Amino acid sequence: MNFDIKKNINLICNKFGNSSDLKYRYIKIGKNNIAYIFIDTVCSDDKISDFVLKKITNIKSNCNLFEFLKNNLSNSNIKEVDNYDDIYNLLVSGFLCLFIDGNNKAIAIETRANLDRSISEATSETVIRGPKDSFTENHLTNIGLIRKRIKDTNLWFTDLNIGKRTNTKVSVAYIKDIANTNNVRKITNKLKKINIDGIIDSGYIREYLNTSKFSIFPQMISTERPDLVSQSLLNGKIVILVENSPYALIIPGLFVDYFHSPEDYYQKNINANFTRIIRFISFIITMLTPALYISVTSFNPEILPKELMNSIIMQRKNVPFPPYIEILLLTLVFEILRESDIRIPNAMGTAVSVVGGLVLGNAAVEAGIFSAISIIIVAITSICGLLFSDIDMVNSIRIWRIFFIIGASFLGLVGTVLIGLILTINLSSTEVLGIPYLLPISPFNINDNSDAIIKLSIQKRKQRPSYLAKKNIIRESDNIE
Amino acid sequence: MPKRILLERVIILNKRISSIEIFCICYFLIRSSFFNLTLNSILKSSKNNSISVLIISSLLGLIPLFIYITILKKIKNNSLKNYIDNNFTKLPAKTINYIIFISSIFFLILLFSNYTLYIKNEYLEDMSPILISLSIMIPFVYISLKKITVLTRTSVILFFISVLFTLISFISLIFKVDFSNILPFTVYNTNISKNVLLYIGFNILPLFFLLTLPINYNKQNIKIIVSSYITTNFLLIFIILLNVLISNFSNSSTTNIFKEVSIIGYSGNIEALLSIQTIFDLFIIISTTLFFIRKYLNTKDFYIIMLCIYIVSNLVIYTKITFKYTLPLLYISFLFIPFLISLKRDD
Repeated sequence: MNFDIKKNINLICNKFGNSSDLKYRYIKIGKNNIAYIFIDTVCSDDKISDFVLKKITNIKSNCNLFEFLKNNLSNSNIKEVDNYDDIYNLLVSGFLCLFIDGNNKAIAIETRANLDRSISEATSETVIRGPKDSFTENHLTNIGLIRKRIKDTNLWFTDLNIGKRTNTKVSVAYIKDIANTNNVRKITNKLKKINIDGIIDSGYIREYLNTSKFSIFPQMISTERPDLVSQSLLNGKIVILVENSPYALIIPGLFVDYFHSPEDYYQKNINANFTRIIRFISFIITMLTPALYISVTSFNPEILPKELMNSIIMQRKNVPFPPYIEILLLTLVFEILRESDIRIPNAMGTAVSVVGGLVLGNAAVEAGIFSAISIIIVAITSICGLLFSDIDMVNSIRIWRIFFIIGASFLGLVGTVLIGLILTINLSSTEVLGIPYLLPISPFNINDNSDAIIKLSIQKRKQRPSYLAKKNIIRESDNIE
Repeated sequence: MPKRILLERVIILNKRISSIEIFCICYFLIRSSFFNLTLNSILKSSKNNSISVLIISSLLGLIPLFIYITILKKIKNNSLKNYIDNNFTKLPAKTINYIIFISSIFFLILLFSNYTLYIKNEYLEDMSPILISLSIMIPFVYISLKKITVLTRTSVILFFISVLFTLISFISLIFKVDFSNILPFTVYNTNISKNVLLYIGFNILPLFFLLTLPINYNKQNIKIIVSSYITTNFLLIFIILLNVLISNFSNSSTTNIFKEVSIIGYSGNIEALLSIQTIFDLFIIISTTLFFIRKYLNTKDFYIIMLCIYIVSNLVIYTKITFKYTLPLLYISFLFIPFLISLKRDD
């Protein structure tokens, strides 16, 4: 770096294209010329005035100014910088850089402005009972929310910077004496290999870490709940936190994990298990109902009792489409409605639901375009599909449901079974970090089934999942190695 | 970490197959040909003696089972083909491998044509068998692209569904039992020995394909194989018993008792839904046989053979040629040859 502060300031200004939010000032203190520079939009004016300027203006001129400032400024994060690249990085990160004539180094003082929203309630994973806080866009706040829950020195965070232009901070969190360190290494290496100009959200990382490319089902859980992250860390899972993203990624996300909710652990076992069974039944209903409807109406009517079949025939008497076209059209209409409901402002949401759901549905039946039974089938299917909080899981179910409808349209019940076989093969062949996706159901492991479909009481759930935890597999404190 | 947990973990992460997977594969191999090949033949010709047929067959079936266990011990982590190549001189080794390979192909053609025929008769009467077999081929092509552990994991899932369906059938059928149908205990002029051979041939000898799985030879796994053998045979005996108790053979010919199934007064014919388990049975046995054949071939040849099986099974679909010639072939290659292999001392 240059000894002349003017040259340094000019160079930085040029580098940032003389951006309007780049502010600098020269001050003369006795014989010393000082210059400071910062980016107005990411720095706090109050912090600069209170902790930097007040100190500088009170300095007596006869001391070694560089050393004095470095040691006496009231700030917890002060760095000595000797190259321009670091200066640029620190400036964009909310630091103020101080240059003193005759020194080829600078002092960087953290004066970051608080640009983040405060901790608020989780919006996409609501619970009736349990903690209400959720992650924010602030990386340090997110780490703090985890540390607040796990006060253990073995909770480690490995930090990386990814993205050539965004230089986004990414932290890999794990509990050192529980998690499999080989998996941590695998993930860290994969993250290091990411060559991209920018990481805007954790969703960018997800694609790079997906191991089974041909599986539509999600392999990592995306959550905004710090309590779920803490539970997962205690089970031996690995968590990735990305700067500016309120969603943490939990790896591995196995099939059964998507049927769990953090709330399961805050209520009575019997209630939690009942809810889990409901979720499994819903999964089957949402996947298979349209396909089974097509199968029984088009290929195997003998399965239904005569009275029910007659009722369906009567309802479908004036419908111009075959059942599979009807179901496909209705599914398409529902997906459009759902998508528009998500995108439009909340105030208009109710109007769209009323017009789309009630008026349109009723009118379509009365006009004889669709039968009432088809609308019931699609409605049940859609409602059951919305039971899952993970949007990737919901999307996977949607895609597989269409495969099932296509299979049933061509081959009826046989087509449904064949697609079911392909789905089972697909799920069985999926592995996340070398761990079978269907564990602990297939390969079946009795020890790990204390919290798979049915959750046993806490006294019987002493063991962490053996496929995740490498050490300290027993949860009790006297077993910690 | 407790030793047992550590062992499970090692098995799962080292891609060896676990005890439950071995159990499930055995279960499917034994029952796979039961509903579509042997059940009706046994009931038709043995009538009330069918229960005796199954009991005798299950006891005699222990012989091939122990032969396979002996071979399992010998081959260890090797494949059967390599074991034969290494332990026999060149010509006998080639001949044995050739016979086993050909028999497996014949067996596969029989199973595949039966699978197609079963689906045509049960579900898609108006559809061409060529189209049906083309559709059912898709999951086989897909699974053959995967590792054998995928097959064993799939079998566990299908096992749970199969058990659920079987339980529904049993609970529903148990109320239709008429104990007077069991009389007379024995019926003369029924061909017991033929049916015993039939049952052993199609339900016990397919256990030969266990040799294609990466099973660790240890006491626990052997116990699992034997317990699966006993459980599945008990299940099949129970099904035969239900058939005897529900169908009155003196008045009518054999009927599918699953047509009688109803759930809590629901009068629809859910037999079609419950028969899905036969599709699972056939899927697992055909896939296991395909994995066995794959060890004899390179990838390109394997897919050519799959195509040939598809074509030939469509050609023979309405003939009884395969059924007639497959049974003796099965006895030669899946009983006699394994017996010779089990006698051979390791070099």
